[in-house]
Amino acid sequence: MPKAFINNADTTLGTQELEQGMHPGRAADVLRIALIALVLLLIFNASGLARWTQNLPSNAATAAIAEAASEWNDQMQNLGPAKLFDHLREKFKIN
Amino acid sequence: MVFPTLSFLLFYIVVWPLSWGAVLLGQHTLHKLVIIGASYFFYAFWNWKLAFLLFTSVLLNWGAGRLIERHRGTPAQARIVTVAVALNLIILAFFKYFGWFAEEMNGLLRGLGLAREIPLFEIVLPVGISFFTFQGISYIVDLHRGDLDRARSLIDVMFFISFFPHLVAGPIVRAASFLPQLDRPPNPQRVFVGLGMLLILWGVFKKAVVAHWLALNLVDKAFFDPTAYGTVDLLAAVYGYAVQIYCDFSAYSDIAIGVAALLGYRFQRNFNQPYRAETLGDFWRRWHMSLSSWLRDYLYIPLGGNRAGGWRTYRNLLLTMLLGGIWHGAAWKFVIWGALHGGMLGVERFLSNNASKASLAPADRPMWRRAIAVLLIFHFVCFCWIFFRAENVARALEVIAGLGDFTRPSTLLTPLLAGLIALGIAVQFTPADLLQRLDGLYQHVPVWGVGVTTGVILLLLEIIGGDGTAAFIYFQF
Repeated sequence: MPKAFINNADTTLGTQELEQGMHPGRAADVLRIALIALVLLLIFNASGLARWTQNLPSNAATAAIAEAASEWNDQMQNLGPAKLFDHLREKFKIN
Repeated sequence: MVFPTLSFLLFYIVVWPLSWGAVLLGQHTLHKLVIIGASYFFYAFWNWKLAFLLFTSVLLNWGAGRLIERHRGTPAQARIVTVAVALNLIILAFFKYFGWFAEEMNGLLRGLGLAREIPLFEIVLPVGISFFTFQGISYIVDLHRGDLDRARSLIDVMFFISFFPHLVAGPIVRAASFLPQLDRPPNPQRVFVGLGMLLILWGVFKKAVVAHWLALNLVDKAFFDPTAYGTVDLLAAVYGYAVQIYCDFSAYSDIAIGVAALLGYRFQRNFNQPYRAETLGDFWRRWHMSLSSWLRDYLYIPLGGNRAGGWRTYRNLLLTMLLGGIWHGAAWKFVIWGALHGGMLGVERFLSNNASKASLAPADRPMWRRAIAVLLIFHFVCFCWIFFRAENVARALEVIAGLGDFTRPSTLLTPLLAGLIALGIAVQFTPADLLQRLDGLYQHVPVWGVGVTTGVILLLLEIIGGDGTAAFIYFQF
């Protein structure tokens, strides 16, 4: 076992700051990152979104959301990304 | 609402801009109210009625804080602290232990031939009650000791106790370290974005892939009926559970720390590669650090710690670990788990107290001795996990008995599961500054690149993760 891997700076209980040595950034970056990631999720995992909306409590608003999500899923399936994602999901899913 | 789900992602995407928007408008109080409102919505997602219990806990501790402030320096201060801590513990005990106590007492009374029965109520265990109760006690005690300079407003106490990232499964945040963060609004130009994103993605991987697969395909099956499996499968299940509980609980902590960091708040670290520990004391400095430090500061030291020396130190160690065990739940298996840890900590202290003065400090010992120590501690911890995971003590004993059954062929262990166990062990030995190194890499990637990478990683995790996300193990505590 390499020595560097077992040596670890001993630290006092409960006082460790994870931020030590990390670089702070701007809050606005989080929004950009989250929006890009969300768009990718909505495009590729459109079927997951459709399933999620179908499990919402039933009322007029959620019915409209579920319908819109279903239409979005149909479009993404036709365009290809959602179809590709679902195919990969089925192929590589372990359980 | 569980962290790695679409529900939480949408919730966070609404809460995040609202909270920072209030900061940018210079409305600090509004920012706090947004977070508090979001936290109660988050909690009420499970059971809205229990949100009143959470609010009661907040009111109790806020009121006690005001009284402590008013009576500071008088004999009444200590009495207020005692009553407030006792009330916190009574609430916790009622919801968590009354059913167990009633069942055990009824069994005892029946055994003695007495007909009287203690009524059993259908008591719902409120999610996270152990965590928010301990945080409430932290507020009272920190204020009493002077670690916290002054009593805080109701809004600040509500924020501290109810803050959604740590609300249901920790880390147990200390009043003295968290409340000063509420004195000023978070700085939007100084957010640890790299840290937050790395912790969230790593946490989702640990939970959705490693913990999920091990639980579903190995641990749950083996612990459901241990008599159906032999040495290899049961040993794999024990190792698998050690990895599963680490990946499950540390994932929750990582995501909580990351989610809070992106909102501009700091939590202390909760796990530090615990399975590389060379002593059991070292293990407890690395595992669920917020609980172990809480037990040390609010229980072990008030009991006398090691100041009195001799048998009192061993008694205090045993008592602290027994109560730490019972904190996890009302069951004999947790008592045994706590007693095993407390007993071994006592043995360790006895050996170190009686070691020759010439013996080497742990860091100076030869590598082979240190490696053996790591192995021994890991296996002791794994043995204790059997009691922790099993449904009851009888089932735990079945697992232990089955470990000696070499006749049965393995039917559960697959190369993939063995690989996941190996991965869970390997991450204990990565360089201590790995997060900082990854953050250094993150600094060189443009924001859109991080967004695309995040999206791709989440999609990959969705592909290889399981259907749905099981509740985190520590939700039940």
